[in-house]
Amino acid sequence: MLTPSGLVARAVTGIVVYVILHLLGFRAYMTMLSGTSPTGEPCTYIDSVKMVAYLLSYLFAIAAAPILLIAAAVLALLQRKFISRDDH
Amino acid sequence: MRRLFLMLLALLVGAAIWLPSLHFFFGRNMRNYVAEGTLPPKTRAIAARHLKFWQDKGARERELAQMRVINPEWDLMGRMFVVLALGNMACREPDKETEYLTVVDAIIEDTLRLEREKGVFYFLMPYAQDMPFVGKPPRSLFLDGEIALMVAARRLVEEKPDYKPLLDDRIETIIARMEKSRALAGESYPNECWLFCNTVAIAAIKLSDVLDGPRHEDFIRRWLDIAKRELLEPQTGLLYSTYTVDGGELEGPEGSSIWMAAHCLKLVDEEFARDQYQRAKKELGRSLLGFGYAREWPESYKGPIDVDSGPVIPGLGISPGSSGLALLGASAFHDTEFLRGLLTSLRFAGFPLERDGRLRFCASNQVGDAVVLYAMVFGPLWDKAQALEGKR
Repeated sequence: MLTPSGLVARAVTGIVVYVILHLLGFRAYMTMLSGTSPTGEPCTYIDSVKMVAYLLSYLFAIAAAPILLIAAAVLALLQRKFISRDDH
Repeated sequence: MRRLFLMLLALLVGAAIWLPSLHFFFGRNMRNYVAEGTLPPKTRAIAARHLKFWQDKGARERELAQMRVINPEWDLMGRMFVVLALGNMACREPDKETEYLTVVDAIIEDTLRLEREKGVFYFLMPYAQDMPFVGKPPRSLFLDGEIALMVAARRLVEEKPDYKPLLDDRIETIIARMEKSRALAGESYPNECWLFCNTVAIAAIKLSDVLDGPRHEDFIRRWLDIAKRELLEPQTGLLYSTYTVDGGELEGPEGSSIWMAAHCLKLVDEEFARDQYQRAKKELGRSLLGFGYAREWPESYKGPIDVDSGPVIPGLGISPGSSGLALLGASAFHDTEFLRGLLTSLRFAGFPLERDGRLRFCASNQVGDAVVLYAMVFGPLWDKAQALEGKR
């Protein structure tokens, strides 16, 4: 976790999860935010899970993942400057 | 410990770089949304969603049924906003006027049919029947005003002779009921007069005058005098959102009312309307890292959260209802910067989904999408009304 590669791995994983959920059509379940069923049928528990999963993955991919990627680059520079070989 | 500190520092730098930059990705290509002449591509896709909605009876009834469970008012409001949008679109694209007016007429006829068959309470929330209306027999200005505005807008695009007596009758009914009130206030619910509904009615009355001759100028002038004298909340100078038939305050200035009201008042008193918009923007309009939004209540006023405001995000006071209608306010008053911020937020948090050339915002519903469409195409109908009045 405390390494640049760890940050990159987490960011990329989150983005991949988001892309998969998006391609699976989970975005349509966001209509439940306004009380509208995406299927026209009454909403189920699984529909709610899909909505929450998409929402969280979206927020991670859009807001958190880029921060992690930038932080990975910054961390790499900082570690090169402040962490000596003996600290590894 | 040092590693942890460096990690936190790196994360802080990452956040400091990314978060203020995020809005650039959602604020690009605003010209795809805001119409300057003909419809830009994304607005055309939003319009396509609504045109399909009104052509597909089964899907429409399913979606309306779900929306009506939360608030039956949204059914009527969605109709009104689509009619107003299509009216503006017909002005922008005269070659498509017949197509748009066919849908407008279908909406109006269906609304009138429902009013006849289901009665005055069909589009109202259940509490409308908890107490008797002050006026007898019970009539809701919400219903009368929005129907009148739809009919007037249609006639403004292109005259339909059958609709003249329909509009005349509705306008006279509205005015007769409002005249019974010391404050010229029409009830939407028992002894509850909504600014939203009263200003929609005033706009309809004005359009009626533009179409058929200035018969109600004195009434409009008196309404404005009373509004400026008695219906302004002292601290903000904004109009109350709800008041009694006698003009007593029920609720203070509210986002999900004032943006629409200011836009309606443009037709009758441009200076007052602009003042209300600017005050609303000062009290309610906000921006965070390039994302615009609107509060439901001013910071100086603690109002309730209701179905129209939508779930309000605590701390920031972000109201989806107010933010959506703020789009209309910003468009109506040519506030490009605020409009850009609001559109940026819509594209980020509205979850646009485009399929088969039709665009909807998943976090919204039919009435919310209708407000967006109207805001994007607003302009020509009000301009036409003002031009016709100027010619007289």
